[in-house]
Amino acid sequence: MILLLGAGPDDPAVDSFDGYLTRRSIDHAVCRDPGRLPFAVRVDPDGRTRVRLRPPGHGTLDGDEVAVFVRDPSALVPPDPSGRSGPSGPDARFAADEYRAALWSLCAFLPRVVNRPGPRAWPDAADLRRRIAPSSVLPERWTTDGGELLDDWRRSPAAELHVEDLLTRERRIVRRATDPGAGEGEGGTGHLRALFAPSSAYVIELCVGRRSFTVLNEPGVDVTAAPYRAFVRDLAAVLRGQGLRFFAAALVADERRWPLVSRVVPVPPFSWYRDIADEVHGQLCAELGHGPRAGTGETR
Amino acid sequence: MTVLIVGSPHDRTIVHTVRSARHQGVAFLFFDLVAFLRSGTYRWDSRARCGRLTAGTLTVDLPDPRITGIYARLLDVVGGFDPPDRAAASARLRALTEILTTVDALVVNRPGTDLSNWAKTYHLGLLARCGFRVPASLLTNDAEEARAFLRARPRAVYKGASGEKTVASAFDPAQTARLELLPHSPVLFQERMPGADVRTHLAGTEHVSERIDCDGVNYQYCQGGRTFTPTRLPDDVAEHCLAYQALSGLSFIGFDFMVGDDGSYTVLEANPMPGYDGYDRRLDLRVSRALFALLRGTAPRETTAWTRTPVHADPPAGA
Repeated sequence: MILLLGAGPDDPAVDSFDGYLTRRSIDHAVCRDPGRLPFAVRVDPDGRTRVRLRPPGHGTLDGDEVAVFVRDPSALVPPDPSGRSGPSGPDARFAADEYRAALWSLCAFLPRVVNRPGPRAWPDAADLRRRIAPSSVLPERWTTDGGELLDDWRRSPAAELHVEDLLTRERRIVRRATDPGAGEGEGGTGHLRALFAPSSAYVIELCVGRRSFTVLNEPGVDVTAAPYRAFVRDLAAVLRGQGLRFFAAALVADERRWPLVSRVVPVPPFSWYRDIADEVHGQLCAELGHGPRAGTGETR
Repeated sequence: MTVLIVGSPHDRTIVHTVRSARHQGVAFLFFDLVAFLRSGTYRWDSRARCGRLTAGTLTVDLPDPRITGIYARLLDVVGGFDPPDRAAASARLRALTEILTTVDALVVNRPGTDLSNWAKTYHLGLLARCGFRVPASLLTNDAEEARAFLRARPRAVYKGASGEKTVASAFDPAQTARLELLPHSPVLFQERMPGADVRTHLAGTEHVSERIDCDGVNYQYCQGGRTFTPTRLPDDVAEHCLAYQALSGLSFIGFDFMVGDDGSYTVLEANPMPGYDGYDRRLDLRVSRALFALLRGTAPRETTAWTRTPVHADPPAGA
């Protein structure tokens, strides 16, 4: 059976996957509150592990009988057990940390999990970016000196500067072509993370196992070209090594039309794949051991 | 040949490291984490992997060929700042973490290299893969499973499932009714290992160990007397430590063991940011000597974290 775990309150992704599995009579359960998922992970002195779960309505199952789709690890939070401290109180925070650690252990030991946690738990976007060769990602700067950042950018060939204010989380794009004086006073609070980008026209690839779907192609890149396919295939292979089998990558193309990674999104918004949800869910089922394996490197 | 020490002046392990460096004639620079978080500056080019940090009057260019190693203890001290200053301190900590994670230099230990200690059961599984014997353990939020485990092991201890500080305590049968509360927060139950504690610090390939005898479950909270004795790991256990070092990518690790009357070692955990100062003082600074040898490049170096082969993409054998 397939267990769908960790859905935020406003996230339609699990509802859609739930509907897909129901329509195809694939045995599954949805768990939004880990407190309602009794589980046990045993470790013997020699390291042998055994996992048992009792998903709602499914009796007791051994770990190898369950495949888990972890939608959003940050949503693996039980309600405050005491009701005393509120959702952000110390009791709730403690219970959330304990559940997150417990489900991290549980998912690491199960044979079929998408996405699987590793020694760094479920990697976030910043962590995933560091796992990619620097030459394959957009140049990034961290600085407290906005003026120096602008000088560096003006000396670079990059047409755009994508700036995130680390304090306010505001993001803005400065374009040289449309405003040569742009960027003055862009120092913000003085804590900046910036990408030197050739453009803000994105290609978004949604990757599920070895299959990828081009869900946005603003610059009109030839996504069937062999070098492009090879790039996406290699990127997916690197991130699979980090346990990631379902993610989106936002790419930009430089003047040679060569893709560079702007951002890896380990929890892709459902709106990005709503139109191809059945194909994505079918491939997710294959990754979870419920259905035929699709071919490699297929593009839509 | 200079060592860069990054940490809080209020962290007793950092204070000890600075004093030990001075005592041992190790050239070092102290990068004050608190001063940096309060008013420091940074710039970092992630592609070129170079940049500059300032804290107080100290300016450090990274990488710097004169700096052979960086010892970093990035304790999250942001909570101690006044609320208006916390956001800026968090931004600086985020930037510093990015820099120390990606700089092409020896960093002991590189931030985020191995966080598995925060998921204690998974962590035990990784330790077992390296050949260690681990305590029989049960992680559960299910009272029925807990009762079955405790029937088989009435002398059990319990503690939290995460890296959040909890005190390992002996399970008292009078607490049985409280097992019904488990759905609110999972708990890690473990067989209680009789014997003495052994703490081993592994720095590079050098390991330094101390045996602690006491009457309680946890020697750190023992009310009675404690006896500290230098000891040496058996070769096979030392090999397991090196195997975990290779698996985790950590170059400086604090291992906690229980050693039985028969001399058998059971590992309890591996600490990726060991507070080693107390052990070092009792052991004639042998831990800090090994640490400085590593940082000065006179001991085998770690592999660079961001080029290391992923260690756990596939489920472990036996899952």
